[in-house]
Amino acid sequence: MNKKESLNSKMPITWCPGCPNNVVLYALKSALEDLIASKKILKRDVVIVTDIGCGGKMYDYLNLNAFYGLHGRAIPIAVGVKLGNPKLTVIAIAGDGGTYSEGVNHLAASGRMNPDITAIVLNNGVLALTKGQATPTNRLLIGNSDLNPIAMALASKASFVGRETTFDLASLQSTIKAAINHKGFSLVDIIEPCLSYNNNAEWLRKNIERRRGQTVSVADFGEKSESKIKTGVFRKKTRPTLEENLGLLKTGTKKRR
Amino acid sequence: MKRSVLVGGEAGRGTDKTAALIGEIFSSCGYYCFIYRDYGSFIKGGHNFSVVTVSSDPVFSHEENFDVIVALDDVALRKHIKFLKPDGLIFVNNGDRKPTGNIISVGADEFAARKNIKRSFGNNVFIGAVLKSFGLDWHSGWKILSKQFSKFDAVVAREALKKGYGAWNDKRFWFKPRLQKLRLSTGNQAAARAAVESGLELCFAYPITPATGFVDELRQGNRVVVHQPEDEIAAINNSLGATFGGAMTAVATSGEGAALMAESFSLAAMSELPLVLYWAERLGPSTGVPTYTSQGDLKFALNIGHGEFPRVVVAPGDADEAYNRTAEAFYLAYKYRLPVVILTDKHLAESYYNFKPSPFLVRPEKFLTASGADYKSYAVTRNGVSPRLAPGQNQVVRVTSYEHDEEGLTTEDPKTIVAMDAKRWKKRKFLEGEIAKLQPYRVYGKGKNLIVGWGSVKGAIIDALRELPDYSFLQITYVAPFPVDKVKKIMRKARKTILVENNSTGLLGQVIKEKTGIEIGDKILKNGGRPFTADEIVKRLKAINRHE
Repeated sequence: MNKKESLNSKMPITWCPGCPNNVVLYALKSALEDLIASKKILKRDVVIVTDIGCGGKMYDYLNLNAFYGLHGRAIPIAVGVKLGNPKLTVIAIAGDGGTYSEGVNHLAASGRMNPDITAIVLNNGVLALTKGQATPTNRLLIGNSDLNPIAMALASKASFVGRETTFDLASLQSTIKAAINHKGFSLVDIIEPCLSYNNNAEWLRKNIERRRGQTVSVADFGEKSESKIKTGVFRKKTRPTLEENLGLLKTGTKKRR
Repeated sequence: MKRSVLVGGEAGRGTDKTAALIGEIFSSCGYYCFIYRDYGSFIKGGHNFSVVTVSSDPVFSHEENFDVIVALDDVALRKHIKFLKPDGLIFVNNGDRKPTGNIISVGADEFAARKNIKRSFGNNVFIGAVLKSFGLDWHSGWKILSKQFSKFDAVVAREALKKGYGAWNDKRFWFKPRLQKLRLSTGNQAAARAAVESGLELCFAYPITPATGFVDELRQGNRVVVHQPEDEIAAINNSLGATFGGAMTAVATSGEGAALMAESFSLAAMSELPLVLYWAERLGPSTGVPTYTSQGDLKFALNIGHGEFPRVVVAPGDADEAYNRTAEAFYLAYKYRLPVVILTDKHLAESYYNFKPSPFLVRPEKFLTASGADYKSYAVTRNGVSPRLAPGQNQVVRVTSYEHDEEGLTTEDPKTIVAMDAKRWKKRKFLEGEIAKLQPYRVYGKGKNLIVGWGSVKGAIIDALRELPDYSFLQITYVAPFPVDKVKKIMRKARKTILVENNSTGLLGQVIKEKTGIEIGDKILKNGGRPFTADEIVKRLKAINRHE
């Protein structure tokens, strides 16, 4: 049995045929396999925390420790898991509805507090499983009122901020890997179309602007929606984590039985 | 013999601290004490007061008339003078009121100004005067006070105490203490101590009165890591995540915070993760009167969270119970993998009681299982409790908000849904059996008439019973699961039943009606944020009897 299969569960995929979430699932699995193979992390220490909705289904598709959470609450649950046992590698997976709408305060707080977890956001501009209502990042929102999550994460002092799309598998894999490896709070915003409710694949494909080795700052995002979707790793800085600041790393949580 | 000392002053003046010190000194000399704290939402200004009841017998409530008024400022004097008992004394700050009869100036402000120290430092002058009026040796006061000050400050503090001691020369309030030394604790402090001794590792809480005292106490001694996240929703989700991770955790809040936590309370039930929610009620609805007490959240606690699931709601009635019941909450939550509410209120959480911890009836632990070969996260077992494993082992561990099969994988299959619902409810029978051994209700006194109540009203009722030989008191401690049969039996035997609750509509009465079919017609209810006094209960009971 090769290692790739060992991360698969027995559950059938129930996303729409051709859903780009499959690309993210594949990229995440191969990133984890690489990290496990290179002994950077242990499979048994990986914990996946999901939101609900289409992204939440990742819970069933991975044969890993997992917590199927609530809408908007994948991040605070993941923070809790990390504080409960700082040895674990904790990855939150959620959609743009959960991360940028329902639970947006947790994103802002986690950027600031810097728990060593990775947040992977499936950003397709819609709440798909409830039939396609707009999320805050939907580009069709009236009057440029869409939220720019990269600007927000940067302003929230997130220590790792990256963005990729499902059109560039290699970059997606490497950024997910870098985010998991990063010590501190990492946000990976993944832009993808929703084939059923927001199929902007053609537009996206033409309007990706890869940033290589260039960081961006909040000032790079004006009041208007981005005309080109910038991708790349925009910030990667190390500073003390929440676990360290709470004194959890020195002794582990106390009186562990 | 019972005496009452009121300490009043504006916020920031050290009112609460002064009263607590007086209570501690008296307790250390063998007097029973109870301290009620009344304060508004002020950091500076306003008017706060505390009432220290000093007694030769156990005491659990305060009185509305005072033997001594310590008026740290003029407002305190004006506000409370009409409640002074006939031979009472009032200690005032300085000479702006001519000492007349029972008003004695101790000159605390002058002392502080002369010594160039903080005004609240001068409160020790008052403490000295109070000690003298009770005929206590100033050294016994100094034993407690000396622990409060640095070596440098101690010289002045001692001088202040002695100045007050000399300001008055009559020990009219002396009565014989018990010989044994007693300790004081708030409900919050007692519960926090039990939490630490239960093995609590992490507490998540967003600041809120009156639960903050519990959290602050946990911070003392550094044995528990306390995290203040962005909001209450984060707090409860942090807690569930950390419990999943393998730690013993708790969350603390009041009704308003609990409202925000409702969705995740239900997550605890579905994911079958242990949850301990320390819930100190305050007066609602909404912001209500945040620094005043209420028993208005009982039915909310019994029903919080969408969907149907077993839960535990335990309501201690004093500091001793706050200690033991908190340990039981951790034990039950972790053993049965379900949400447990420890329901207190501002009156219990922040009043000082004589406290003597008695050994826990249970042994709280995390009830984590050792890793097994064919581990299933939601294995169906005899008692419905699946062995719980923390991640980090060779087995995959899953917890989920979605309905699931035994492995924790998502399901929408009707048979599995029914089976898993039945698995969760199976716990109830075992839970009830266990709780039956933990005194889910208690009866005090031998009278044929029955007073029924729960939570912090216990104190005033117990004190009232001294004057009510025909009455006994049924205290319900475990409101969920409710001890239906026993309560029914006790209530049927009673000649007459009266409900006493610190709320507007008699919520426990409604629960009793639902569970036993018995309606309690006579109710002594009180809202408005102030707790009952024993006198008030006696008077209102007599009024009911006159009408019948």
